[in-house]
Amino acid sequence: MSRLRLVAWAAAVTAAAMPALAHHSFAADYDEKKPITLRGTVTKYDWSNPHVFVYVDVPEGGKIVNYATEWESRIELKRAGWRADSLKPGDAVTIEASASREGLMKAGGKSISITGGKKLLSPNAAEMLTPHPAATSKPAPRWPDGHVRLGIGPDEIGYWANSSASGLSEDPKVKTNRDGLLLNLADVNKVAPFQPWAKGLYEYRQRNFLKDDPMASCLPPGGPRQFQVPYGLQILEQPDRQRMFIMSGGGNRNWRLVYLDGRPLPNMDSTSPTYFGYSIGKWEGDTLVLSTIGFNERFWFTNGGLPHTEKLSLTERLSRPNFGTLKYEVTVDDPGAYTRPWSAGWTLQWIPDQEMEEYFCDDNNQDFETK
Amino acid sequence: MMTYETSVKLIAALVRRDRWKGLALMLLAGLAIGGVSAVAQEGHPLSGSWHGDWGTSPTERTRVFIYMKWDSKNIIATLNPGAKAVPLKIATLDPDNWAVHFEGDGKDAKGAPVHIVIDGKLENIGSYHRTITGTWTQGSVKGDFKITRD
Repeated sequence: MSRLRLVAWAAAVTAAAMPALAHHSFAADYDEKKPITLRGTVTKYDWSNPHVFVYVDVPEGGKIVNYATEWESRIELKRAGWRADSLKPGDAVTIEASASREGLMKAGGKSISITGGKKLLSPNAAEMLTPHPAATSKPAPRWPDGHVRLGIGPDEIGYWANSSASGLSEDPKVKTNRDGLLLNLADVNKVAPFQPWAKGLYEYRQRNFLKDDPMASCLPPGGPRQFQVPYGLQILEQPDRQRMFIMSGGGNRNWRLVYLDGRPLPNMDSTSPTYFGYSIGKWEGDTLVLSTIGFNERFWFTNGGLPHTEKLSLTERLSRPNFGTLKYEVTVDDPGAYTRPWSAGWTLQWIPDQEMEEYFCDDNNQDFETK
Repeated sequence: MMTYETSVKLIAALVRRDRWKGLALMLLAGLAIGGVSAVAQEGHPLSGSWHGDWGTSPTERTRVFIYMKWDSKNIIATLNPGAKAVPLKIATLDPDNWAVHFEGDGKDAKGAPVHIVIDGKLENIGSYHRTITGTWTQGSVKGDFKITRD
């Protein structure tokens, strides 16, 4: 790849990073290099899942054109100050947005100014990643038996979110945007020890701005991706039943069951592959070590589109070094897609005093609507 | 739960027993149609079942069904699984340009041995219904082909 093309790639991806907080890549639909300004009147404010839409009539060439502007989820917009009554039909607005890649009458919203009123911004990634110092200064809570409590405690509200890395890369210096798009496509060889076909497929997905992401059709985020979705997760521990659930806040609010009763992994020839696989776990000191096999091939197991096969086996290590931090480490072993096992990791933040919000997105739903 | 691979093996076994051949063909058709959602996958882009046809003109076409599986090192490909299955002993994919190449030895309509060479290009890779198009050479007969992943 020429230097010029690399620079162009980096510019496109970096620019696309700002609004890319939804469960699918905004860069796949909207071209950040084509900013547009829409001055008109709100006709509909669709404050609903999975993405919020603002429809606006815009005078163009003597005609009125109705644009559908797409925004992030209600969850993210609420964190940025939006509310269900922030807009109403008839409001005169100016919207800064990115144009549709397909030339359609839709746009990816970045900001909206209400005439005579306030300005609403698309969620700022940096703001959402603001750490919670009070939470990190407290020690991790523990169960009566001494194990670190990974999930919610009694009389407590909160959940895990804001992963410190948005992609999965063996080299932690590799940078991606919030969707897992490489800021520099030339870093592809640093991401993982790919087999040739897997590298080719990963590059194809990256070059196409992740437009084929199964999560855009609301398929579940199995594997490490469950720890990267923007809406967070909840860990529900049931020591009396020797199991725990990892509950997704994003995607279609699915869950993963982890057996902690000492059972072995099953023979996968007799088990149907699934999105979340078959997980067992055991404590090693203050770290819960999970072993998971039995994944199907119908999803992307990370942001950014890393391929996998049914031979995928994960070893994940969960620990809570302090009250406000969940440390996640994973070793990926998939001889069908990679030449050797490889590892990566990141941290998540405890979001205190907030419940995970409802966010429904079901298999094969279309998360995008326009008119 | 019966996997796709198991289903194909079952059909092959039924075909070997002549009296069940009709049922086998119905099952095969069912797999080709109903497999759309059952086997949609994001792994190796050739894995799965493919159907389509080849021929020397738009009106002279022969239906074909190819089942492929990635075993971590090699593509295991079979043309028309069943009594007349043809193992494609050479099956390669070049991820630099997504070119595919298959070779195998089957029999023509009269039962005479015939060497089959298939060269094509994988297209629309991100789609569940990705396609391969190219040239199909069977003995001295050369035509075009298109197969679509089910």
